[in-house]
Amino acid sequence: MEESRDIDLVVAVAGSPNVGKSTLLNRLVGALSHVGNWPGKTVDIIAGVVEYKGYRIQIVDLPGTYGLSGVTEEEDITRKYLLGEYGERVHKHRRAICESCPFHRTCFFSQLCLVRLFSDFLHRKKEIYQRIYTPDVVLIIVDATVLEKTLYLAISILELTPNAVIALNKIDELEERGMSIDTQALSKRLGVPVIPISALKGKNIDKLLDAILSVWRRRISARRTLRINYGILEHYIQRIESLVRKAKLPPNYPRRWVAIRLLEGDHELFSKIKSLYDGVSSEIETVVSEVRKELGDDVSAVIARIRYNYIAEITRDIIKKKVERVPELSLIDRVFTHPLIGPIASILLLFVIFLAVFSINLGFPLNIALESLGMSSLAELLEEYSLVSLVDYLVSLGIDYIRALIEPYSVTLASFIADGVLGGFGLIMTFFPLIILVLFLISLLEDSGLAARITVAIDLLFSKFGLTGRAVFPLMLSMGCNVPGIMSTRTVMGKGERLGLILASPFIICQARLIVLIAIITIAFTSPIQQTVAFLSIFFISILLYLIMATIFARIFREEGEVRALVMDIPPVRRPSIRVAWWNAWIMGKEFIKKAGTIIVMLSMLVWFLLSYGPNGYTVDPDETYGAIIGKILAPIARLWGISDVNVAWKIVFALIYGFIAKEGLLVAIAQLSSKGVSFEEAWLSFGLTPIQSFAILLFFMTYVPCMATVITIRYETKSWRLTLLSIVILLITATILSTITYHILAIIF
Amino acid sequence: MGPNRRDLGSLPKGTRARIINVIGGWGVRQRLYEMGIYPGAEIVVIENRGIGPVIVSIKGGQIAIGRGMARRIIVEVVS
Repeated sequence: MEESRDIDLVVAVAGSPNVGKSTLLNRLVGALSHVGNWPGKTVDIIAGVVEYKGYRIQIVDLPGTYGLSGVTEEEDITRKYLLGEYGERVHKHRRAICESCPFHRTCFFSQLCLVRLFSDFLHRKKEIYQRIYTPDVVLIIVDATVLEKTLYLAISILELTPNAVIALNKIDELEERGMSIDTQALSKRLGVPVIPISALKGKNIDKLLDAILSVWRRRISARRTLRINYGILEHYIQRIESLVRKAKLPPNYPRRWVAIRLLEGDHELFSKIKSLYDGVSSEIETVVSEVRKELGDDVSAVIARIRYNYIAEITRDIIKKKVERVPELSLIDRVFTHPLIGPIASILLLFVIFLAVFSINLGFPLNIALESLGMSSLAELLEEYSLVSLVDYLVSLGIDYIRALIEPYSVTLASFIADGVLGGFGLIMTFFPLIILVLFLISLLEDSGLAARITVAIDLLFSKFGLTGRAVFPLMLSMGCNVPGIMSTRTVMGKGERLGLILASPFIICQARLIVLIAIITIAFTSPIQQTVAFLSIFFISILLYLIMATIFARIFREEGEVRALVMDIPPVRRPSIRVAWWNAWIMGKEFIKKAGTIIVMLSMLVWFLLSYGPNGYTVDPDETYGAIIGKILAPIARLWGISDVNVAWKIVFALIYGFIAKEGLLVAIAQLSSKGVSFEEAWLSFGLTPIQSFAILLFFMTYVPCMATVITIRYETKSWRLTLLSIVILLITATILSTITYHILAIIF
Repeated sequence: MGPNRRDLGSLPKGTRARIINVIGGWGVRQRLYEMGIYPGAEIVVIENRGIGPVIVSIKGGQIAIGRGMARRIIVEVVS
């Protein structure tokens, strides 16, 4: 693998949102990949290697942050990493295996490699922290067009470490406005190199790397961190500094920085000191309360103000030809901020994107529209040539070929390989184009600044629920497929809101469930009015559940620094970089498929076993399988909907288990369970259910459990099996209660 | 509140104001200060339609502030 050769230096890249961090990373490194998770966090560690002048430089992408208070997950990670709290987890055995493998250069599915999986199992207790380091150099990106605002993070980092380089990005945009910045003066004042660059145009990237190397070479010589004069606070800072000295913090914690943080009221740092040396904690508290008496309760506001004043001071005379423009909204902004046109334009825009993505991928929903217009042949054509059908077609060709190859030797093995292993693999492959395309379009929306405007325009509709306008992205996308819907929550700023939206997304009816919904409703209800009412009520119940669940869980998981309302930078509207958007989508999509792939294939193997093995071994009769046995054990569940006939009940439960692989699988399962050659409609009618029972079962089916791919996505995005399990349990409980109550109420009324 | 003191949510478009106080928990305040919304900062209201987020200009950048938060930002109008 690529990481096998030793790395000469590690560069951490920090920057606030919208400063062009991913554009620069795209310039610097060809490929970034996931190298692990930050311990206990939902954020990935993304890193890549760049070779420059004979040095191998590892570039570590830190999450976008505004400061280092540590009040949000992103800030906590950035801060801990800069302080050297995280080590790198290296799987030595994996390297050895991959290096000796002839395919390791071209290997794409190393996560699925059986040799590696086996070796992981053998080495599961020997995971070692090989190197623990602070980054050699921190690369801080600031936006030249909003210099004062983005320098805040820069000086926060410079107070922590002097081994830094500042990239002054978007210098071309600034020059276009007829302005310039005296970078040398800025560099002198901050004590670190300041390199004007344009990440978009690739300007001065070499100079940036040269500066990084020069900082790295002289990092050993004693250099001081940035010293801002805090005026009236200086006296207190020095008193706390001398107290902190007694606590014997690790050397990577600069004492002055710690003292300032303590004055700002950082309780995490305070309890760390307390645990190291309790003797000083009460003295520190005394000093802090003295400051409060003098300056008022909010010392952190005073400190923030001093920092911004410092920034204003050092930038005052270095920005040339600064024209004080009266800020005004552009035409696009006037449209999006209009209380009526804004939300309509946003929803239309999202709808068009939604339509395009899902029509290319699935044919849906354009095929239904075409069909209702009487162009059923065109609808069929669209469906046939959708990406998913094409991938499906290719995959099933491959599966059938392999099945035919193995079948003469062993029917069981052929079924196992074809249905169990490759079936799961095929499922992943049909998701891949969908995920990449959605991530690509979301990236374009973000990069162009339109996502921010949509968020603002829609915010009004969600703010009543304690959510922000960001909730619209998972809501819309989940209607096509829950997987990209959940992935789109990555752009949500707060951890609480993000987890809330992730856990709520499976309540949205995706197109697979829509197919089942339409199929059963048209069979169970005869009058078009009843059909419409049944359909719409289930549809709106799902959206209502999404909003309720998102609200509840956003509240439960809210972080300390999470603002309950929208507070978001609005970047200027610009032409998005297709290259960067594609690159982002590719990295995220590839990583997801790698991680999810392993688990999906394993689950697919398990489900295959349950549905084709029974007490008497391999069988093609579903009635004889373990799945049927489980179905029969769980059959009493169907009593909730007044179904007491065990022969019907177990089939429904069995089909529900089947629906876990993919929701539309329910239709296949029910047809299969009945005698051969029976259509789904006939099979369903043979159950002899009342419309109310059908309706209750549908209600249950819509939310009972996310499909396999969604479960894996939840795990991947939350980095937690516990939250994944919580999601399933909540869905199950909601589905059970909702369907039972509805059944009994409707049964009384009608 | 003094004669000139109002909350950000009530300021009409085009008003220039200085932030006096941000009401909220420690974490929320830290977050806003880092984004440039701190006591002492000068802002200009770019858009405020009475419903939905307020859009302000701070240090050359534009920030949307949800109404719920905007009501907790106390400002002083500067002429």
